[in-house]
Amino acid sequence: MSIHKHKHMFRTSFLFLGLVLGMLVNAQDALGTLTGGGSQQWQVIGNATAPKCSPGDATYTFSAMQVVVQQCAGGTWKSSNEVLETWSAGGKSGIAFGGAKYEVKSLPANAPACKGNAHCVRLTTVPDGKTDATRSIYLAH
Amino acid sequence: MDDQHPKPTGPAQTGRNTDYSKAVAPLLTVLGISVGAWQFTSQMSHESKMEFSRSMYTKKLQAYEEVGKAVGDLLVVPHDEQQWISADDTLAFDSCLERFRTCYWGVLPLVEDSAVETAMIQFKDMARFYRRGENDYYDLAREGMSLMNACNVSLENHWSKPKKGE
Repeated sequence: MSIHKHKHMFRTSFLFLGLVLGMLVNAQDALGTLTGGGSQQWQVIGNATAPKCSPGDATYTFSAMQVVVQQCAGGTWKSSNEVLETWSAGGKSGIAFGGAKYEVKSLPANAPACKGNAHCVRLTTVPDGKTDATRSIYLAH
Repeated sequence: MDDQHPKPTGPAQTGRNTDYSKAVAPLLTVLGISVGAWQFTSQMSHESKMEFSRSMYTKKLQAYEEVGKAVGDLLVVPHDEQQWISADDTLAFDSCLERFRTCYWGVLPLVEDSAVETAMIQFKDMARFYRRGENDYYDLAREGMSLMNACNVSLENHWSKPKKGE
């Protein structure tokens, strides 16, 4: 009886450990995709071409600990630095910066939102309990 | 001492006892009525709370059943559970998504809790992503399962978790 109980406890512990490790690995995968192992700049798909920018245009440069966000305001780029973190909860994982949590998904190039870009990712905000609206950012590099 | 002040046992003492009992009896009656009224009110209050909780549970169950049907319908649209949505299925999928959106906006806001709300939002998003060909069937099915699990937990917690303000 006691051996069975211990076996059950071990099994539960291993399952839990596996789940936690899985989530951590996924979060690291998301970060790896965005940083490319170093630092990588991503553009919002549909950004206006240089030198002028349009409202809504943005670029994100991800590195291990931070993300540099450049946003277009009044025809010029404004830059800000945000701390980049990973998160995992409820079987999901992703990255967090600028006060929002995002799930990261690599998309196939033939997804309409990717507009033919081979390296295409989608960042989707996780519901924060305050509003029903979630936001998706489609990035390519 | 007792010899000097013997206990009064005459008619005067009996009269004083009668006075006390006359005063105490109405007090006890008032007290009894008050306790009875308080018990009755508290019992009624408890009953009405239970009745409200019971009717909320029933409403919640009905709403979650409706959501379950909408989720199930969305998940069986792709007949052979193929990985990506096919052009033949989009019309039926849109129609089912419409029904899910009706639940999302019309039925659930009255009864859902925060975990169910989050799962509803995530399933709605995933259905949209699947429809656009960004996520595959397995992602959609996984979100559907998460939503139904959240509904299940919400029903389980209905009786065990104390409500705010209680």
